[in-house]
Amino acid sequence: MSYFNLNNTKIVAVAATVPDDVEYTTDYAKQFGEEHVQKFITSTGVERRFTAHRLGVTSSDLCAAAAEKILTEFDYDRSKIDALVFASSSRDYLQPVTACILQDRLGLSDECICYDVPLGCSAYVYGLEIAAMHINSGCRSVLLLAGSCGDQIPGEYVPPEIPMLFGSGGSATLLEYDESAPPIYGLLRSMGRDFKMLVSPYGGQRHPFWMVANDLGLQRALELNNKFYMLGMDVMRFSLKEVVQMIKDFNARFQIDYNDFDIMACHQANKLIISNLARKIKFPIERIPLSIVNYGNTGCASVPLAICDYYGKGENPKSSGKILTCGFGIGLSLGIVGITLDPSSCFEVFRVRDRYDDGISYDEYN
Amino acid sequence: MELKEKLALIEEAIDVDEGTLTPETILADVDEWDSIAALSLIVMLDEHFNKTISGAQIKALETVADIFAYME
Repeated sequence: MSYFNLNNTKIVAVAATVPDDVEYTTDYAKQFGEEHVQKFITSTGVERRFTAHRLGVTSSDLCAAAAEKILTEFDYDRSKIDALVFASSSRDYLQPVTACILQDRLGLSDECICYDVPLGCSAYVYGLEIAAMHINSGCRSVLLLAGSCGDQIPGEYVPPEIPMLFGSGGSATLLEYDESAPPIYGLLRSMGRDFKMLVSPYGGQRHPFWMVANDLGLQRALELNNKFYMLGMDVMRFSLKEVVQMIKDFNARFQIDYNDFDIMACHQANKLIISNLARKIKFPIERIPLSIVNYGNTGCASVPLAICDYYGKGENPKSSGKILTCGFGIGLSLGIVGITLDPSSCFEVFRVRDRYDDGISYDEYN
Repeated sequence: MELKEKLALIEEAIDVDEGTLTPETILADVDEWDSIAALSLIVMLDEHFNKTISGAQIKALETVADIFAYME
């Protein structure tokens, strides 16, 4: 039973951020050839994206800035925030959870439930359900922080595979108890049988570093450590089959009429996937914002980033704020959630430069 | 569907000039046959023939004629 329909939860505001470091896809023409780069832009849609590694900015830095923006602009009583969920697989440390560090940085009270939900591209839609559950179990306000950053690779080094697809992004969504709020409803699913389609197999407990080093040597183990694998063709198939089926089931269950919604804020996997998904579910493609063009695939942040990119400039004044959000990817994990927000409370995407100094030193931790 | 039409659909999907391919063409010999072309082929087969094929099925394709099996 993975359908849900939750009341009492008002979405107060949404903010999204990117690192202040832009890369254009055409910058890679020398490396990969002009023709390949053009073909890549045509099929994925990515013309530019923002990257974190040169600034050393992490997903939590991006999310903290987004949360700070909302709390400051609304002059919000921070003591009311009874839960903080960091929905991200880009964690600051192997342990503890990043949510606790964010609680401290944002000056939230000790009476605050904090934990991470390390999903990928479905993190935001899962986070919406989790946040609404917390509101209905007694929390006054919940901060949902969803973000992704690429590998923290040194300097100008460019990863050899699909370096142009993934961008970095962070977001904050503030939700609070309100009996008059419209419902948050949706459908969440998981398909663990296909986990090998999207996976970072090495570095965790199943294939620890030392084991890979014993088997393949130190140099190769270093190369493979934390490496991410994506079977692109199977991801395409998953998008056209299981994601489509989920949306059809959701539509049937909740008797969805697409005309009732401003947009579908869809996970920005790539343009080819989004346009074919739209074709199959018969959702008008012009009402699925393609933020991937300017931001790339930002993983956990792509849905809130698409929301802020669409509403944040205030160019759609007649909006109802009723939208569908859809996320799908690593796990495999997927979900679709209907929400209502106040378009004027969605901030324009802004850039972040500051890297948090956590005070950890080699002298102390050696 | 006639052979000519099938070839035209494949040529359009993997972005090669019209008349470039024959049923005997070995995909590995086609410069344009890369991961992006494969994604476009998956989309074409889904859109026109309602066949959603997997990465393993794509990898098993050797010649253009092998694609015809999914174009029924």
